[in-house]
Amino acid sequence: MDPEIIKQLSLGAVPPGIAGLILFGALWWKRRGTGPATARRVVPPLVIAAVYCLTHVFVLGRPSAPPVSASDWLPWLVPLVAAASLAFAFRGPAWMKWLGVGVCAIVVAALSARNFIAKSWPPAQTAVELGVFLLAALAVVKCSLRLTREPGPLGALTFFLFPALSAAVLELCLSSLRLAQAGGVFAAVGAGAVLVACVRRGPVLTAPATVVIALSTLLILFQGQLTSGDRLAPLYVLIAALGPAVAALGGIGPAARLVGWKGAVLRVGLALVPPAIALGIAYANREPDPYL
Amino acid sequence: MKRSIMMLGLALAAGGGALLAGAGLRPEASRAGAPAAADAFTVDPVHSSLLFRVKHMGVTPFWGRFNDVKGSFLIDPERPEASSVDITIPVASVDTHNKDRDNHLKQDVFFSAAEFPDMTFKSKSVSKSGDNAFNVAGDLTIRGTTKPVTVKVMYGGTGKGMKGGQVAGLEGTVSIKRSDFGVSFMVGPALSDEVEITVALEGNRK
Repeated sequence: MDPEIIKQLSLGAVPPGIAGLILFGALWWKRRGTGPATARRVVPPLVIAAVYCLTHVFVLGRPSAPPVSASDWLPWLVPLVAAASLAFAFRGPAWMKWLGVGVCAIVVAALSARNFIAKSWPPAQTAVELGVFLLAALAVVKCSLRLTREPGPLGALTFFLFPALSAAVLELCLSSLRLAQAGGVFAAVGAGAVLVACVRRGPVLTAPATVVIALSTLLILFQGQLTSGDRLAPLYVLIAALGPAVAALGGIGPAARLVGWKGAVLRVGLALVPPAIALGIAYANREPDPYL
Repeated sequence: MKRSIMMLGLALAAGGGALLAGAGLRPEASRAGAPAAADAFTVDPVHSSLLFRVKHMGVTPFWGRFNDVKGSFLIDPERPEASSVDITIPVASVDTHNKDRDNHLKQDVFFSAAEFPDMTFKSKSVSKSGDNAFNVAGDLTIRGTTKPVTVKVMYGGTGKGMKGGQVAGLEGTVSIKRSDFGVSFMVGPALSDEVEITVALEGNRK
């Protein structure tokens, strides 16, 4: 592997992973034996957004101001998502929290697709694209919250697989190393939470942290669809977005009665299914390179 | 293989930037207020070339090209201020003799072709710098970012075309920094920031 690529990948994964480990480890250490504190809910999404922005600068380059392309918006939109996620840090009516997620989803999707909306999408397509993203965002966040609400490492692990495998889909199906690295940042932070979840009781990822990782990952997938140019890109993104929902199936019905390693294998296996299907379709549709 | 493709892609991207700079040769005759569109030569993509060169691993000049160039130009040696160049280069026509690399160059990490399908150059002023030599200043747009560049152009003059019309030709060169246009992926030893663009245009006029 090219040393430059190794360096680039390492910068995008190791520091965020360490930051995630320190973040969730410190929060666990501080509150062990006590109930949830507001700080435990407010700090993680803000730190995650800060870690993303710093990593973006060092790995993907200094953000352009004003943003030009879809991915240029990420350093601006991730903090926005983090701010919206804070609604889940405080008590209040559920509809207000979900309204915040919905409005945030439409805003970040519209800004990401700004060039398309202005130049190539007719109004009907704009409405469909944003509407589908809104529905996907609500479903992904809802299923992700269900996963991370579980005590123990399994919920955190299956949720962590969403950004991690989305990064793989972005690179291997949508050919976007840039966006794959962006998704990898959230996966690395989530990996820290998984490690902490292995040694502590109760959920590690709070609702706001879950929202910012889930919605940011979906946004990155959406940007991958926008910029890919591959006719199958919407299919890849749709399948990848099903990850949290399919993983959550392992926690309901007969599947929930499986415990121990059998349950773990089932849960992780379910989480792997959607991205595996996307990668399989991409592999089956790959075009042979006549030059190699 | 993927890595090498990426490296090549970076090189290509740099090259692309150069090409774009080349595209910048497109004049702005009508803006200068002179002969305008009716007198301009329409670019013949079959006999025009847009090449870019980027340094790979700090040692090897790598060449790529864009196979499609559209637009028009008019160079008036007697009245340079009446000259203009206006070129559009579809990003999808990038060709680095490696399909994977070409596809990589079209991704968001480089040209983001789906989002920004064209690179353009529109001249703003043309001045004479020597015998048949001109400086064509204008706006080069790559990946949605527009920057002013000055293209050094050697005008080849006019002649009779094979189909009876009139033809004109020119060659322009310009050097740009791809990072200025947001194409900053892997800028460094692996793939230089500097991209040299050479554009050779042949135009037809009935």
